[in-house]
Amino acid sequence: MGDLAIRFIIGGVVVSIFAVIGDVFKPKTFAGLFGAAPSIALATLGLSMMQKGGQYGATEGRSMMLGAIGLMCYSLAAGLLVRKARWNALPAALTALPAWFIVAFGLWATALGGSQ
Amino acid sequence: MKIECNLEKLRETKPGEYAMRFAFGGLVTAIASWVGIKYGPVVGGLFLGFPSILPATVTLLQKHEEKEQTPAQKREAKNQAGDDSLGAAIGSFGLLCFGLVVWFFGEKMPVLAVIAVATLTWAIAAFAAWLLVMVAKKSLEAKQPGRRVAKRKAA
Repeated sequence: MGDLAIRFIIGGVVVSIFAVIGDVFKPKTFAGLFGAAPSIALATLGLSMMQKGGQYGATEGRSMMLGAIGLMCYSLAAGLLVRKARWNALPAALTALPAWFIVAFGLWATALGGSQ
Repeated sequence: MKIECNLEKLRETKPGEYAMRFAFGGLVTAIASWVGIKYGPVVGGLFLGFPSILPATVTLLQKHEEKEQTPAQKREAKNQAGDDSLGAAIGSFGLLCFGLVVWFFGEKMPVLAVIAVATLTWAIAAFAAWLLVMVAKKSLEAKQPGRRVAKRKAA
């Protein structure tokens, strides 16, 4: 529980830093790059690797690539809903969320055979 | 394409909005860690690519820009939020490269070195991908000058 609390605080700080960096830049397509920053990875990967070793981190890194493809599809879907379909940002960001789960877990099931 | 940095934008964000981002980021990180502990690094690793920044950012962005009341300004607010999301889609390539470096060097280098090289790779890959997309977009618009005019008329 204490470990999760530490990760909560570090994660909150890292996500806030990247979000603030994204706020100040223009054009927004450039600022958006910081919306896909490795915030969770920076907050947790170092701790995980120190506690459980390099192999654990390498395995997480491989899966992270699939999560990143999911994020690409999610961001694209959210962006198109706002830009082309003229949805408001919050409903678009929430409606597109299943895209991340479908792509990330779909790739996990196919490319990694659903292994743990 | 000129990149501008406007620090005044930081004043537009209220303390409550900073707190919301902190809480959301912390929650997503804690959930990702819990999934890793419960189901192992293969499933837990997927969540290192979970959207932790974008949902709050685009929502706040549209909210701030919508303070401008004319229909044209509201339309522009939506465009900005949409562009932010599309930028994140481009930046995801950098995140993929981050994961690739960790996968490749995770067992071969010290932890801090892996994280440092992966972060540098993310920054270079994301910026290169963005630059490539912008150049491609510009060259496409130069080849089809009518496209931009038609878009403006439609707006």
